Amino acid sequence: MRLAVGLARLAATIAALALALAPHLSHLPPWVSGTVAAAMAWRLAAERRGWALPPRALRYGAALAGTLAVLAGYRTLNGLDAGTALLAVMAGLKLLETRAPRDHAVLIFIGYFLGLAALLYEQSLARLAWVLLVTWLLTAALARVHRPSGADAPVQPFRLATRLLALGLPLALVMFLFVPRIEGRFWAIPASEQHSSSGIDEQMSPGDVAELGLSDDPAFRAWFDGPAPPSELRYWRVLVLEDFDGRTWRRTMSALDLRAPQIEAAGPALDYRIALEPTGRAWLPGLDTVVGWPEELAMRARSLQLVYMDRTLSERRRVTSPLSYSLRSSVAARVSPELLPPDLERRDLALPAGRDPRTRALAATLREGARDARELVARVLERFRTEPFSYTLSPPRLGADPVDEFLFRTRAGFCEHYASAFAVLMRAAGVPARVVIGYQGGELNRYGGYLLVRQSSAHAWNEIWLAGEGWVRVDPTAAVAPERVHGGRLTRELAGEVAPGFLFERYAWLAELRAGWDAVRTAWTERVVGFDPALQARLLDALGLGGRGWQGLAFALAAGFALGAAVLTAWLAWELRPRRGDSVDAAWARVCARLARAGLPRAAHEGPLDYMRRACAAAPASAGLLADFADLYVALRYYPGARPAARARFLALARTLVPRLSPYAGRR
Amino acid sequence: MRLWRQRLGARIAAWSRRRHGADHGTVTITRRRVYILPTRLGLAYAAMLFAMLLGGLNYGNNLALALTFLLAAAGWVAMHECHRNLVGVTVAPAGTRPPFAGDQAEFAFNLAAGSARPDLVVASGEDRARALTVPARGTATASVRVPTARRGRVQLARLRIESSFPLGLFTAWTWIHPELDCLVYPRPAPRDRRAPPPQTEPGVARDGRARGEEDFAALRGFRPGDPPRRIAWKAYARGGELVVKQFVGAAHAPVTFDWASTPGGDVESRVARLARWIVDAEERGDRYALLLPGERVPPGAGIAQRNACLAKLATFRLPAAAAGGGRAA
Repeated sequence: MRLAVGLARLAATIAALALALAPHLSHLPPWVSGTVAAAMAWRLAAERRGWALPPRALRYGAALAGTLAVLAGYRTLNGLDAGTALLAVMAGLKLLETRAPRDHAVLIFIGYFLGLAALLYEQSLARLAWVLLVTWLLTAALARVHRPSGADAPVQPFRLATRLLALGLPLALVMFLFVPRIEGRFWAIPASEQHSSSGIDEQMSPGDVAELGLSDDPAFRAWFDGPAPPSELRYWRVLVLEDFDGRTWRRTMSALDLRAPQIEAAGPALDYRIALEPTGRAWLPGLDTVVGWPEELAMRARSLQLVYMDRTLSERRRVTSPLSYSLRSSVAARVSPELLPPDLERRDLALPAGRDPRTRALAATLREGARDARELVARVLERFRTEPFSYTLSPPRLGADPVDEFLFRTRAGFCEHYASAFAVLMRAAGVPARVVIGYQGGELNRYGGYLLVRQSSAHAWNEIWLAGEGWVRVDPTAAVAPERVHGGRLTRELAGEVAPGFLFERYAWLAELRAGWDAVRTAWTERVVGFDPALQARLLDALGLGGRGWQGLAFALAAGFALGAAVLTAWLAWELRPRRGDSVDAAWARVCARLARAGLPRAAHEGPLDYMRRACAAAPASAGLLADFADLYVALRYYPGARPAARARFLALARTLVPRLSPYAGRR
Repeated sequence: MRLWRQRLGARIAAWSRRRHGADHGTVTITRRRVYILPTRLGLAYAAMLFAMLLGGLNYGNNLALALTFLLAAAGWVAMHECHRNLVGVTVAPAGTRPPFAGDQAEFAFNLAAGSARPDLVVASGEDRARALTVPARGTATASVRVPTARRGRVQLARLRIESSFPLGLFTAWTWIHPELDCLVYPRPAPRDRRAPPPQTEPGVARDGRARGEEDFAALRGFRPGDPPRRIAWKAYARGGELVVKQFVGAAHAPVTFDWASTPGGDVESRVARLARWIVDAEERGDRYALLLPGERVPPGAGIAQRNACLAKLATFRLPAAAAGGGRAA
């Protein structure tokens, strides 16, 4: 079979497919991207040069090899990463045999799927814009592909695609608003694709970090019902680490303890809502001590699964799409003030044997001179402040006794170093202590009225247990770099290094611009990306269909479809209405109608010249005029360069002819 | 399976004929008679959308759902467009081109709509015409072919006009039952030396020379209907206009092709013989008349004369059964 598809058609399909693939380049293995690119280039060259496409055995072999290679690379074919890679490989191999429209359609469908996958990876406005562009191109390619062979007139595929998508938009909106969302999943998402892009790890080993990368990406946003707490109180707890092996702090399994701690709330409660960016982890940040969630927001809070004994929160599953939840916190609550259960106390005092001897000795010294734990804390912090400790994002690596090395040799590090060293000192001195990791600070966005907390605000601090006071927060980093806490963010001057976002601190208008854009993005995330059953229910309530569950949704959907169909039908009918021609057509129609009434209707097969010739014979009195009339009509209609004068003459002739043809009708 | 499909097809055809009746003359395709079904591509598209929907719901990803809904809505609009593309098109018979028996009869139709209608396919039975576009103003002409076996008449019982514009996800179609006839000329008998065409009587030729020795006289411009063998191809090949050689002596007295003068045999072979003579005479540019028992065509020349004579022959002494013609669905 000769290649049935033209180069243009092929190029359109390949271009759309390539753009659909573009967002995936960052996570596709290079061999996949390379294979697809090579297949595209080869196929285009083959089309131009008329090369034969590879034989069937080779294609099947390549398909099998490609599948196996993806399987080997990902150990699965399930899930987003492996699925996307497989789609890309199949697109490349399909290209090798693409000739018939059906092959094109397969490629285009793969392209749509790649667009979908790109949205599963990221739901930003920019990503959506890209996918819409790709969708438009793919639809145009589809419009190009289906055309029956030998179709005569060119149909502008891009205009067609624009039209279909634009006319479909209202209905798509109806479906978006009223198609019920499900809670839960049809099939499990493999753990491998939970991307750990967030700044918070589940463990902490400061000695092993040589360069702390601070991402300026948003971590979450928080809306407070009242005023937000001052920046020195914005400690967002995510995880509590209590197990220490001399190098690494880990969350203990016993932290999964669900015993409710004794909490004495003091001071006003803060009600707020957090919109969390996807983290790929189940942990949820909460401000200081979470004491509950407001009753009126209980519905949203239902998705929250677990509140642990250490007052950290987690979802039922890893957070892979934006998540919103409401909480009530207290910044002055006392947690377990009376009693620390003995098993927990043992855990919070444990240190690995034989590590960090100098630190233990220092702890003993400090302990001896201090009257109580409070004074001990003050002495440790005093030491951090007065000795030449410095804050840096690129600390030296630490060896076998990392705390000793940090406290007595390097004396340079970031929050994790200080938190780790502080906790070890406290434990060695007999004060139960633990490390808390989370976020500190947050910038107020006045356009959106929320606090934005960035990944670069990730922080580590400590909590120590004091009899009668319970768990008390101590932030040793603040002793070294108070700006870290009070300014909310690191500055370049402070760290002596380039911290992310320093440009925005230098130029206020840039910061304003960024805040505005963030407010737009946040609204997008909240309203569109975060559109959930709760928002859907609110929308139904607003429409007066509330309280009926899926019946309300079904009714709204049906009504939307019916209305859409009616509007579309009317629109198409109006658009495809028979056009009343211009004045030339109208004049021609008048003369023809006059002749028809005189018993000389135009036959269906008759061209204008033949018809008028017949008319001339039947009405010799007007023969000359009719002949001119016919000639002018043909010239005006079929000769592209007809002059305006011809038109005027034609219309004048029509005016003369219409009355003249009447007596002729009478004579008959 | 195939038989089953054929039977089903026949039943549907009979049903549509009953439902819509015969369509004589110009037909305007109304909403009532346009049918629409998804194509294979459309079904694949629907399957793709379903998979996308499951994926979007599973991941709880609103933008993925939005993309799915947008594509679904575009498909839905495409369905409306596809249906609408046929509604309002007028189909007018625009003549037939009679074939020789064994060739294909051609039925032409003029399609107009008053607004542009792309990618219409006019089909009859196995024959599918090229896709054509009805312009916003004016008409498009489509012709369908119907195979013939014997002289007489062939009928075009049913015409299918379909379109899968704009995306090929749906096919909308309508059936029209024009019940048009087309003449089928008898296939001329092979040239045979033993049955030479009758000549004009000797001596009637103006200068008495034998045929074929006419003097070349002049060139004149080509007119439609001029026999190709008279065209001065050499002059044309040199880059000139299409001109026709004229010969002195071509203006013979008319020959009469008489039924009685054909060599014996059955009706069909005699008709075929006459057809051969007529076709040859027309190619030579002769003037001739046709005389059949009970019918005659007065002398004349040119393509109109040929067609008039062949038309007489097409239906001459036709068994009643064949006169109705072979139907073509």
